[in-house]
Amino acid sequence: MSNKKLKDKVLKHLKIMGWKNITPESAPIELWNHGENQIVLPVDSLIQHSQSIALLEAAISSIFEIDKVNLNLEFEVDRVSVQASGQNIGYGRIIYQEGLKALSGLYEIIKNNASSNINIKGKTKYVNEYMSEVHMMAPDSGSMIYKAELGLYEPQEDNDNESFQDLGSLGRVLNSRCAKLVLKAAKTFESSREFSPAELMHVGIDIKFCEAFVNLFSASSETLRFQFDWSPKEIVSDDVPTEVLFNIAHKEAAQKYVKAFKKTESLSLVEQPAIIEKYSWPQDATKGKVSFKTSLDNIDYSMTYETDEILYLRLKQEKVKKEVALSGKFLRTKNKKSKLEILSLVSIKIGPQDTLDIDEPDIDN
Amino acid sequence: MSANETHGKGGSAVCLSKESLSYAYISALLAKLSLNHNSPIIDDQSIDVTVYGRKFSGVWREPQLQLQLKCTNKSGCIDKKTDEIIIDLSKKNYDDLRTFSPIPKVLVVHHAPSSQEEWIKENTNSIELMNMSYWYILGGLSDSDGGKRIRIPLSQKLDSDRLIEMLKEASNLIPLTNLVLSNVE
Repeated sequence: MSNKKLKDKVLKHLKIMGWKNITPESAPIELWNHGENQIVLPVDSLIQHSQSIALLEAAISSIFEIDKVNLNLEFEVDRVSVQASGQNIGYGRIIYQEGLKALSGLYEIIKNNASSNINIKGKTKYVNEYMSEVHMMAPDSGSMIYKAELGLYEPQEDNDNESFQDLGSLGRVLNSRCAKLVLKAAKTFESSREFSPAELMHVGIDIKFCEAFVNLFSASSETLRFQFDWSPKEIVSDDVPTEVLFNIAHKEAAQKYVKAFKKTESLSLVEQPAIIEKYSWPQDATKGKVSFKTSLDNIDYSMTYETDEILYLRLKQEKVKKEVALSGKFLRTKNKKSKLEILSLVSIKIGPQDTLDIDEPDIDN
Repeated sequence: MSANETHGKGGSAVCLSKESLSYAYISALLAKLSLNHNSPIIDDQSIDVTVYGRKFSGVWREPQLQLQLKCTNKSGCIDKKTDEIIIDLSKKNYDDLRTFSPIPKVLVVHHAPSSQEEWIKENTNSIELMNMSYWYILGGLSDSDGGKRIRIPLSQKLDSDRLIEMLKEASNLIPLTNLVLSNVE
């Protein structure tokens, strides 16, 4: 490993662990303090100097002594750490109840992610096997840091499933999707736009995620920093994050969405009568929109369904006001403005002998 | 036994014994000051000893110095007119010591008596290590086509006070400088 990479590895650790850079300007070395401890690193401009490797090795050795972390290990698993910081959080010390809830929150995020991303025969078995390779690590100090190792789980050889074989290990697929989901949640929660529960579910954010996130973001926390360390054993794509930051505003948004989700119910409807109301393809959009009108429990609802070009053009052959029957999953919101939204459609029956089966793509991960 | 002898009484080369003398001088100072040190197994960076301070009050709490030890007992190595000690460095040593480095590097030249017999004065209750070591900072000096002759003012004696001062300066990240500049031929 080059001196630069070694230094990056050390810096990443120091930042996570709350070490403070106290280097004066134009110094030939970097000084990082943590209480009584100090670590010395070469400055970037002297990283190739013959003295630098000894400084880096000494730093790694000190980190092992002080933080009990061996940076020399080429880890064979992915890792996630979540650093909770706030004025009311001590150095590696948090209210017991909050700490437990936070740990459970992280566990739920990891497990729910696996569960919602495995949609093949034997799902329960695969989720259980994956989770048996997820290890809780001892929390670290430096505010409060929850850590887990996410194994690069490979399903046993006795299965015929080849669904994930081209993507690397199933473990890496799930781990990277978990990281992307966390990043997506950060972007969604900080958006000024208010998303409906159905819209959130379309991007993979459901009530389970929101609740788990709120638990993880405990009452004493002011910020949460997710850190993902990807094992060099497998290639990781550029769109998979290594760090995602959250603040109180994100938590408040998640709490708001939990409330919104609680006013909803998920329904599986088969051949629900509906009328095609409108077709539209907004400018520059990649999908067309088909609006339906339906009636459920004596309440009329308007619903919009987004679809690709092929299905859109096929549906458009049918006239507006055409009666159809929709089968799939729906989300009903029970508040003053009662709303029914389409989560996913399995089929649209457009005539007695004419049913369009829909192969819905996976939720956008 | 004079400076012209190549091997000492014990049979080893005098040039190796000079290294031992220089190291003994430094070791004595380090012992007096309670300073830690270590030596690289292979000196391929022109460093013989790394000195470590502890609990210093500057921003660098455990400052370090890296010393290149030399020893000379050549006749004429002391220029009495200019009060300087003269040492010839190889291009490699010169380049290693002059380049900007994370840890300060110091050239330490020990001036030994010309006769090996006189290196140590042995008394009834003590021994005396002859003569003195001198320090010099090459950091920032210009490039050279070949080896360089360094002239070190005799005022730059390396004693325990100076060694501890250098560590204090390193602790405060103050670049080490010579008392008198431009002593390179």
